[in-house]
Amino acid sequence: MDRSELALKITGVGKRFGATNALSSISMNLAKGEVLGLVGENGAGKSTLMKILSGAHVRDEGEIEVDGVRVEIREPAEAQRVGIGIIYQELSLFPDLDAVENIFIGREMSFGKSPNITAPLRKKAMRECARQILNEVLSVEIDLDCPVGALTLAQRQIVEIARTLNSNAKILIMDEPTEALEKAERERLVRIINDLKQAGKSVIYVSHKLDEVLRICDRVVVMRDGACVADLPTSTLDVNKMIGLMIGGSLAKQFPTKTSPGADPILKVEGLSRRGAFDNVNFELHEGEILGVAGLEGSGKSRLLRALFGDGAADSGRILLRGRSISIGSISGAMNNGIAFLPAERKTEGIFAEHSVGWNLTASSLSKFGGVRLDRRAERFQCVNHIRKMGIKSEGPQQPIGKLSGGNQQKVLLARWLLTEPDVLLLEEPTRGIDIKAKGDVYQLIASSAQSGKGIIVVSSDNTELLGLCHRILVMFEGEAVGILDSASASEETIASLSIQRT
Amino acid sequence: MSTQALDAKTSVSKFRLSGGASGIVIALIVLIVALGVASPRFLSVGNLTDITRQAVFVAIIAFGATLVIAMRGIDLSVGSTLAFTGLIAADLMNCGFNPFVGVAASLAVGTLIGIVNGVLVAKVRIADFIVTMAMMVITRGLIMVYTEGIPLTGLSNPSFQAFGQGFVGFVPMPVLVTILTFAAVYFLLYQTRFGRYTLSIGSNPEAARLVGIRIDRVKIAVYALTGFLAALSGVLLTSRLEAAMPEAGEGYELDVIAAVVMGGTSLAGGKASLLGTAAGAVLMAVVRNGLNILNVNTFWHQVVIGAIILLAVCADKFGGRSRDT
Repeated sequence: MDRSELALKITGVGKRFGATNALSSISMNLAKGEVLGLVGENGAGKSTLMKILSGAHVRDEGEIEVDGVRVEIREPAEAQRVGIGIIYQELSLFPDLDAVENIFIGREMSFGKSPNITAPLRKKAMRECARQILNEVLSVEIDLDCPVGALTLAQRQIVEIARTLNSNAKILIMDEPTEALEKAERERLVRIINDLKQAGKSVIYVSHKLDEVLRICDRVVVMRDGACVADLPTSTLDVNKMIGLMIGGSLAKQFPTKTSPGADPILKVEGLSRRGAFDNVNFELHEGEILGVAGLEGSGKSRLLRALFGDGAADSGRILLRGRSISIGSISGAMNNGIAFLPAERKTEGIFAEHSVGWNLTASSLSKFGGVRLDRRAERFQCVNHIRKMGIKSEGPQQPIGKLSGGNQQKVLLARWLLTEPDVLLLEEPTRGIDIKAKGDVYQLIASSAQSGKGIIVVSSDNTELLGLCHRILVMFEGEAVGILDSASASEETIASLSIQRT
Repeated sequence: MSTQALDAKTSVSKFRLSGGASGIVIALIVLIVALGVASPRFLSVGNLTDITRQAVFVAIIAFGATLVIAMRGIDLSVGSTLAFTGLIAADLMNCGFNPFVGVAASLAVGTLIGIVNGVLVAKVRIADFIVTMAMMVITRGLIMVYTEGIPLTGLSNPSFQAFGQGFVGFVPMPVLVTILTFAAVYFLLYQTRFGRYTLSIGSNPEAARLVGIRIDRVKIAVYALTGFLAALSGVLLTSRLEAAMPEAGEGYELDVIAAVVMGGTSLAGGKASLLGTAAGAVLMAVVRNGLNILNVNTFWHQVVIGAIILLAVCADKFGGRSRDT
């Protein structure tokens, strides 16, 4: 390939967060007028790479060239300047402004020779320019006077694309652009991408929808564990081959041996629905069973789990706890029924950062310690006990939790819920962002809780983890439970293809 | 581990003086020494008693406000609530009611104002700043409507006077009330679930919700407590002055916030130092007293108080952890 035709060249780019190697030595090219697919499992490093290109993160090493010129991208404005535009999954528009204002935000046209911030705006010219981009370049009709908050999701996305084009971006990054789109809208997006390509723009298309990637892209880069594992023309690929590359021959991690669950169902869910989140979900959870829930981001797996904890409660269906129908309308209601929930976002939903390990450990079971006055001695005793039992590395209950490693913080949070002596333990991404060793410990703790007769539900985007840890795996797709697999006979391929629902 | 070893570690430092709180104590000592050198009159028994008397009205309210601020809230209505409830007590007594009825009604109304604040903040989800500022203006307005700006005087009932002016042994009654209030709030904050929940909400509201804390209830209770304490302070002040002044407690909201923040309770929430708040309230009184003794023009007082608040907030921002970054 002629060097001058390259829109983007990445050489040896790496990024680490603390001790974790998020990206190691990534190299790839993007030609002018090329559509490059970027695929990989959650956590493979796709978004980190895209954030580096768009200036949200700064790389630790390596080089980036745009149009053959070496560039430094330290902040989003610099990415814009060199011609890289990103269209985010979560749209970043201003809902109260109209399409024209959104398209020109930050680069308004104004009167005067050297326009300053108080110069009058050239509204007509901007409007004309926006109309031209939307009607002629993208061939779509959008009401220019309507606040974009009132537009449909697909229309908003188009406004966002128009905004990126207006910034003279030569390289467009699209992160899961079709995730929330209807079929017809997806078709339109495909057409738009083709038009952009004809116009000599380059596109990086990040998606979980592998069949779409095959249809739209010229070439596909597969990432796994922070590295590029394949860079192949689309013509040589099919969906199964891509899944194989994404999963890799991943090593069996240290999973505890599974003990067979009891015969009695502890939790039974019948026709559970919540509008816009999940629909008609049925399953049984037995004593001592670990049930996994797999699915893509937005498949409803987390919403389902949280509904069982009274956070965004279901609006129809039945929940039976040991055969008794219960209604879970609030978090405290769920807790009174012996249900515990470990949220995915440790920092924002889990820990009380300025407080001690002990404070954090007993936060959901304070009523166990004394009546009006807290029995601090009993509290401390339990803390010391659990710190030892869970193998939490700390200087003791009084140490600030912020000083612990992520893995040890996670163990404290797990201990917090075990201390409530729940019958049902709901775990959301229990090993996200913790190191391998701590992962093994957490798996052990989950398995031994199951052995003590609790029913456990694990939501995870790591299918290897689900297969290794769980007895059965419920797969969610667009809010529906599309299958329950026995993990003894299931494979990552079967989970992946169920969660992608390709036909 | 043996139980003895556990016990040894159980005795958590009795008074929690975080970094910010020990700073205030030092600042207070420095200020007192400086003022003592500048004016011999400052350290006279009479003057020190004056300072204490001034400090208690702010201190009592600031104990409640410590919880509000530790919960990431704010309450601007306390000064007006103080005047409003003081007026209620005075008016009932002037109408011939028993002083205890007057005091009880006053405390009840203060609590009610707090509950209304709390419900609007927690249930209706209006910004605390707006809710309590509106409440501040409304209650002050009601006072002016009712009194037409004229103080309500002539509260000569001796048992009511004793409340604000009496002594128990050699301790002035208001000081005793302040100490008891401190002890009660201290117990609530550090020894009960309610205190834990309050700090948890300030530390991480989302995590607090997910550990099953009923945030609404705790918030309403904290605002109610603050309203109650504002009323208590109002009753004390009315008794001391033997009159309900329409403009009583004006600007107290700022003194209260200054006392709390200088005391080491972070505006970012999650941590509270009640002893620091007490020191902060004394410091505010010392500053005002010092300005008087040094014959500084009254108009400059506001400038100084405002500057102190800004300084304290800056110290909170740069000295401690900054949540925003």
